[in-house]
Amino acid sequence: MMFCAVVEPLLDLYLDDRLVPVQARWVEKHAARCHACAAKLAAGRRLKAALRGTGAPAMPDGFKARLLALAQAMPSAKALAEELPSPDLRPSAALAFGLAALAVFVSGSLLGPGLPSQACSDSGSSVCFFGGRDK
Amino acid sequence: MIAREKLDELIETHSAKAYQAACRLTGNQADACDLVQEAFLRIIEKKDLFDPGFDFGGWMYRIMFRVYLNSRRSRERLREVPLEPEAGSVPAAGAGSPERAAENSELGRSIGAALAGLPAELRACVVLVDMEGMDYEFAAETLGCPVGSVAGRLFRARRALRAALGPMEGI
Repeated sequence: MMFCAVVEPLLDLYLDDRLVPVQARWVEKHAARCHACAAKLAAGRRLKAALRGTGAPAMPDGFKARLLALAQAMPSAKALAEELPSPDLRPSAALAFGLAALAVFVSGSLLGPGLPSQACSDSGSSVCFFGGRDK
Repeated sequence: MIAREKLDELIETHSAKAYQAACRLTGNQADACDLVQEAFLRIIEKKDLFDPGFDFGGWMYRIMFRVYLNSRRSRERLREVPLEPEAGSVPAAGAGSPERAAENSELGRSIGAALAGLPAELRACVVLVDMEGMDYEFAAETLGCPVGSVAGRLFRARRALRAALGPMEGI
């Protein structure tokens, strides 16, 4: 049927009661006419019931006692933080140091003589590999 | 912050539920014990951050499911086997007669095997919504994803489960 492709993604949402009433009625009306979608709806209900009904093993003996012992043995994060000496991190000092280093670097670049070129030296006797002999 | 006595009381109250959910997630008892222990370790470590006005069960679920998903992401080699009916297994509510219990345990084995074949994110959704009975919003908050992603993962997970369990019980 033409609408099956549209209705199929809505079936799970219908089973989980996540559709607005108009959509839910649309799914119900379609399922009443379409055997394939009605079967999918029924299969979805059976799967949900089976999943909900699946049991889980009981907790092993002594496991709860182990957890309680853990709670008694473990210090909290706050207690640990109080016990351990924290490193003296001062963001303002680090920022000031960084700014001072930057100022030294910038002033050196602007005011200094600058580095000689790696390719061509200023002296006339040297050989420039990129432009022949320097003048 | 949780007082020591209150923490003990919370462990008494919630550990069994946490263990059952962990069994459904991991598929075996040894890994479930490890998962619950790891989750409670985190809870104990962070107990100073807990507001007593909040729901402890929800906090516990959130921590446990995230520990599970993180461990699955980082250790794909984690060995998983389907849930086996073990001594002392607690049948689900309404199990009824021994014949019905046998049928349920057979179905439970099949469901455990089918769940083991799902990716961790899909399985976590199925466990939270279909097995633990939580709503989409709680699952989204617990798994740290949008509600639409929960719906999409459930759709894919159920389709895979129906395909795996199809020959059985007409699912």
